[in-house]
Amino acid sequence: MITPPALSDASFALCIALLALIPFAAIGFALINTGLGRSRSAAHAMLASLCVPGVAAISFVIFGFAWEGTAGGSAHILIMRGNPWNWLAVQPLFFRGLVPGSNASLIAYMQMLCVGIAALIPLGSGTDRWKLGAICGSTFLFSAITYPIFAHWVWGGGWLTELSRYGMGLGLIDCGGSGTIHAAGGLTALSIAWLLGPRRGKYSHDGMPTAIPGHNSTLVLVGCMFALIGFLALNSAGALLLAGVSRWQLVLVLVNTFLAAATSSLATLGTTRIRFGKPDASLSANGWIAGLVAISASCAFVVPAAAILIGAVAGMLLPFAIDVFEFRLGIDDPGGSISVHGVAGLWGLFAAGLFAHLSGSGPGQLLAQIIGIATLLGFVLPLTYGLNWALDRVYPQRVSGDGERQGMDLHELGADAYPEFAIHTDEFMTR
Amino acid sequence: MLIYIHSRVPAGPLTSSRFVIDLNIFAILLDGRMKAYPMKIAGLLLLVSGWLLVVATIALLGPAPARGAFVAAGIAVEILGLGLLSRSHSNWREDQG
Repeated sequence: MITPPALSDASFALCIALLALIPFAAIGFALINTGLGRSRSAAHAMLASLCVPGVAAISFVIFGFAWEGTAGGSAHILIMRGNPWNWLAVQPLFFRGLVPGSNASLIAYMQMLCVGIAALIPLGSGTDRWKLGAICGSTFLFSAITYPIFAHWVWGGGWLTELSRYGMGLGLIDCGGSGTIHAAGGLTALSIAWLLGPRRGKYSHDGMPTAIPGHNSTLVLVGCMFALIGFLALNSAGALLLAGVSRWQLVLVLVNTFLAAATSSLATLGTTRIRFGKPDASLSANGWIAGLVAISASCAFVVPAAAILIGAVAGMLLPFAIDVFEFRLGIDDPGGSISVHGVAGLWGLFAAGLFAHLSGSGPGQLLAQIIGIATLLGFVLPLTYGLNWALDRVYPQRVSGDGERQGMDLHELGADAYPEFAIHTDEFMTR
Repeated sequence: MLIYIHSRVPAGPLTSSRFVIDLNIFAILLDGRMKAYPMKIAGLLLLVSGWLLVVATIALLGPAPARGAFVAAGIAVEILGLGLLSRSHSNWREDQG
């Protein structure tokens, strides 16, 4: 189990600066999700990207942090065969009990930003058909229940970090959030895509998918650049606060994060060039994000050569994962959130077990990482699916057919994002 | 009374004297004959069961290789659950037309 030491004044100041840069990741995701959606839903997507971090932060401060807590804090313990199993934190609501200037206060603020970023991920899979009210409701459930429970197990001293007691290395390693932020967000995106169903016109009567390209590649590519800043800050802050890495080792975190993003994007570019004859801009942009997601778990513990390999595998996996979801499973995921965050996040957790070099980790580390993956699939996915299914029963999450034809901007907001231009055609014609 | 334990159910209406029990989970995945709702529940239950198998393995078994084998079995159960859940949504979409 990794126990971070108390921060020096210089490290504390550095953390504050890093935490101020993390919202760039949210800006990046907002631009990517908007650019990959239709023009008639652009304003709706950007407004949703503002609402989601807000709802997430409020619900996390009120409820979420009370269940997530920090390592060493009070918690519900279950005794199994003489060993304590830390299941759930017991902290006061509304962030009460946090001492300003303590490590715990920094972690609490970082978690408030992380839950907002994780909650933005499902927006990509629900683009063009997810009601704003339902987005806020789903975000509330995710930030108050799903995310805090799993984050407590990984970052709050929960049972996944205590796997070291059973000879499994140092317990689950996830210093930048490949599993806790991205895979959890990606699996929620999968639940949303399942519950909403595909966009009208996405599949023909014989089940073949139709390409509905994003309306603005420039937004998508600029979003990738913003996301890089956010990920560099997030991975560095996670390494300092959650993994006990000294500030002198942060250079390795920065190098690994950039290398993985670059190789992943180039690998996607190469794969699409070979398969389609020309590189695909939006897929290569998604490849960039997939590399950032995959390296997050192990950014402080792998050598640069391993970071290149982790990024390359993430980048090559991405186009195939998108094809499987779209063609084989009939899942309409306009922003690629399930593949970029879910699949790459799970790969990042697994890769940390393969390549991380830590004193005391040993061969049991890979098993700890696999147990983390099993927990995401067997606990987080059913929980988030069940919560969103229940919300859908009470308040249908999908917009009406008329609303979808009209566009989310006009239907829900009453005004288009680009009122001077008629830049969309009708893709609802029967094929 | 006839009880069929087979992936292919013979044609003809079901009667009180003719029960069909389809226990071939792979056939269910491939055929998609089961209605979406029970498949969805079964998929979710399999996901949770796989995870509980993994958790029980940590507490009850000693170090590798037994623990590794049971964790792999738990993951395999989860993959089955994921397949079933995915199939249930494909059926739902087909029903919607």
